[in-house]
Amino acid sequence: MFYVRLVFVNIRRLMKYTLPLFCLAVLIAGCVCYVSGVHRASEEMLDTVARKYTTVIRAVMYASRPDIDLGQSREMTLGEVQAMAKADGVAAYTGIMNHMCALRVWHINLPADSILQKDREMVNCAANEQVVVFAVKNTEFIPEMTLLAGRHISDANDADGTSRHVLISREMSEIFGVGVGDTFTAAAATSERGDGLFYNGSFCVAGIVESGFAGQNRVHIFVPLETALPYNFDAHHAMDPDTYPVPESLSFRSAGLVLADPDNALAVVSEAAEILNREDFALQANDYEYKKEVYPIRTMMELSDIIGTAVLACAVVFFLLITAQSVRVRAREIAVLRLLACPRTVSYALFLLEKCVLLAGGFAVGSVCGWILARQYTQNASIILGDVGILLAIGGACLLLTALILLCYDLKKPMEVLSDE
Amino acid sequence: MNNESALLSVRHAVYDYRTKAETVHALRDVSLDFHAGMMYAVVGRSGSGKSTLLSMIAGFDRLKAGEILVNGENLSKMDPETYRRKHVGMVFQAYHLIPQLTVSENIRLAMEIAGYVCNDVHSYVNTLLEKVGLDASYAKKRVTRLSGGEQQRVAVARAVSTHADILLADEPTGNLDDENAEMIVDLLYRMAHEDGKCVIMVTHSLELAQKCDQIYRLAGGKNVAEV
Ligand SMILES: Nc1ncnc2c1ncn2[C@@H]1O[C@H](COP(=O)(O)OP(=O)(O)O)[C@@H](O)[C@H]1O
Ligand SMILES: [Mg+2]
Repeated sequence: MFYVRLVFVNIRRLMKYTLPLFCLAVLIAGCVCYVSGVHRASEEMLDTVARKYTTVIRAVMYASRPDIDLGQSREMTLGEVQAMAKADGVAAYTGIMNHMCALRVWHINLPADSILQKDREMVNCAANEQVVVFAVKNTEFIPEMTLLAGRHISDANDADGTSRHVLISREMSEIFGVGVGDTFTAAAATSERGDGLFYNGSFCVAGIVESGFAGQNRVHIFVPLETALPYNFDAHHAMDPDTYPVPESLSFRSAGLVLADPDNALAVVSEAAEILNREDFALQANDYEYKKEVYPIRTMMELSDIIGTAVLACAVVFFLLITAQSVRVRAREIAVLRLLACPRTVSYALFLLEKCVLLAGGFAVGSVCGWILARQYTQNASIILGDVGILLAIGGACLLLTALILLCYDLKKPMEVLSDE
Repeated sequence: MNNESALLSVRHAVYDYRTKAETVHALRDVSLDFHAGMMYAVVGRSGSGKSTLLSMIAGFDRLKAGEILVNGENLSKMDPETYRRKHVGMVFQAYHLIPQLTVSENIRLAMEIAGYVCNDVHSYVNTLLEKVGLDASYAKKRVTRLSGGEQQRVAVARAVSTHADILLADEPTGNLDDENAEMIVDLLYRMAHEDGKCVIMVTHSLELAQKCDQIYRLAGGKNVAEV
């Protein structure tokens, strides 16, 4: 009991030596907690970014996989998706959000001399008009559009290969004067055009929608994904994205899928690219955007790692230097203890206990400070738990080295230490 | 002199310090007897081996040859720390108190190390302080705030706090003025005669040595005629 009291008396009365040690302990713990907090926050951000982009890519990918029904599922948490993936024994798995739909986008270039025909009367298309065709599995699940008249279309009801029911945009309905129940045919005037962009399908208008898709080009139609269209769409995939950019208002996120394994984002990207033959412009754009968002986070993470490690290393070195100095200054005290026949174990225990108290106190204060600072970046409250292990290891190493320093000074006989004065 | 009844008897003690450069023969052949209840002065020129002799008696190191008997038991067969805790109290020229502690903490530390249990530590410490001529108000003072004479008195109190029967004092008056020096020597003398301790004091001052019951003189690591 007396010894324990002595330790605290020493800490209090020898502030000159103990305070710097305490401060360094605070710094060490602060560093560890802050850096790992930032690290975690960065990982969270990377996670979010990865999920955001893989979402798009998966949507595109799934558009080419009609065997997967995207309309049925409900929103899932990442945990549920992961559990599902685990049960299915796959590393990456996609869950499907509530309001999802798969999209396939084509730009159909109507030549200046093309005619969009309404069956009752011919409609001349004076300008070089472009119609954007969205192939969707089920329009009910597209939150960005509102049905104005008629009904929604889906693969189940409308993709029988003959009916060709489509939804058209309000603008298209106005420009071409077509309404629900009308049939129209789009056909090129000359069938021998060199660019091969024939367009002579005939469609029945199932509904009219208000939609923000396709940017300025408000003339668009929605067709069931599985509609057997009479021309080779693939030819249009190769279109130059600069000439025919992705319509900005087209929200891919609404077609989002949750990826169970965001770490595999890039692998998924390449997988998707392979499946799509790298033809889809969305891929490249997304990959680029993905990297653009990821690099600063990665850089921040690496930088904070480097700075944190450096500060930590410095702090530990300083800690040991100050310990060595304090042991040197207090060598006399140790010698007196030895003169009084104090066993080595007790005299060391006194010193080590003192360091223990300083380290523990400093670590506690530092952890809280580091945690508070790191909270700016993350909501993850479990920060401290993971760092306790690191701090224990650092503390252990410091104590061990203190013991070694003590041993070094203790090699001299106490009488010699005292007569050196 | 009757060897059997001696509390401490040093027989043909030999000790040398070995450094890389040289070997110093600090003790060549010292044979002395010390009895309980007596105060001894050890005098001699500087370098004659006085401090070394005290170190050997305190059990800091083993003799190269010869023996030290404590109550007839060979010191080299005992555990030096246990022996020191039980039997030896020490006073030094430089006091060697722990500076950041108070008077009472310094004394209690020695008691704690020696494993000396006491029911009422406070009054025990006060009694000790009274014995060395300090009043109870000193107990809570830091030792660095005290004068040299006061510090040395605290050192004496610490040395006797564990009821050691051998009190070793290596030039305890070296840093003190005459008045304080005399006081310390008187104190040590009382310890020998009132408390029955065996006090061995190394000193330069013949005047102070005269106060002791017996004077031993060392020269070149040997004891010469007893004065
Ligand atoms: N630690 C040491 N290493 C080497 N030589 C020493 C050491 N301590 C003392 N000596 C030498 O041993 C001799 C006796 O020293 P000491 O017992 O201190 O003499 P005294 O106390 O009588 O002045 C001296 O010559 C001194 O130089
Ligand atoms: Mg000496």
